Amino acid sequence: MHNEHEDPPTEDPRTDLCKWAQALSDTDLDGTPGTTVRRSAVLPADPDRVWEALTHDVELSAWLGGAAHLDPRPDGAGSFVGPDGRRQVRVRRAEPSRRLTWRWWPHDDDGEGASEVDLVLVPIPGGTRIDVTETPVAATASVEWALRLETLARVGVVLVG
Amino acid sequence: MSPPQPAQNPAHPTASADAVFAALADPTRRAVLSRLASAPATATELAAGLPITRQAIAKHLAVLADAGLVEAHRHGRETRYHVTPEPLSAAMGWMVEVGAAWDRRLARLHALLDGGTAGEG
Repeated sequence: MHNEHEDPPTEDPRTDLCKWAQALSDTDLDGTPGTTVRRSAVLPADPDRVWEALTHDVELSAWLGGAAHLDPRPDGAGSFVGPDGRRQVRVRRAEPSRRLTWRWWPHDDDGEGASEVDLVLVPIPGGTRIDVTETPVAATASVEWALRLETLARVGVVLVG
Repeated sequence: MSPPQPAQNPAHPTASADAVFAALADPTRRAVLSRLASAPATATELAAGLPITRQAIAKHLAVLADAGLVEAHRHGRETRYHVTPEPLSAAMGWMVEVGAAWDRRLARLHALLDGGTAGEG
């Protein structure tokens, strides 16, 4: 479930390409696209405390690695100034102590380089597991389209041929 | 050793990386790319191995070509498609950079919560 893609893309790009293309062809539509970055960690605090650390600007800035501001409500605006510049942030989903989803993109573009960050908190004995994914929005949008097309195909619309 | 990618800021998926990601988000295109990664092929050969028509394959190949992931080479009457891995390297670079950033962030979050639980309030 929680695959970590830790192999760095070194050596001959073609070797990587074959491996990656294989991994991609094994990914199905029910999963996330092959361009999603996934990480998981076990944190020594309960989900309420972790939620605080995710949503209070001072703590958020400390662990996110730059000056961060977030309005942790659906459609809440935010900003982040990190090592690679300023980003705009827009909250998509905020379920206190359970799930926080935002999109962020470079300040100087119109959202073209946006990616979506999804943080899911799962209570476990003695703490919280946090599951992180970050997915480029272009891939997300395309998967949404593919799912819609697949639904059309299921109800009998001929798509190709 | 792969050559370093020129002037791509991997922290931001650029417009071209977006095209790569969009191209890769489709399972048929991933299957096509996977097939081409093992050996160059024509659209007809690709269609023989996949449950879709040659015309549909041609459309998918056009999207992959727009993203810079495949190139067409004419040999006499047939057109063979080759994988061009460079844009994929840029996209993978994004994934590696973003993954490393989250590793650092989660380590900091862990440290923050480890030291901060007792003295709160």
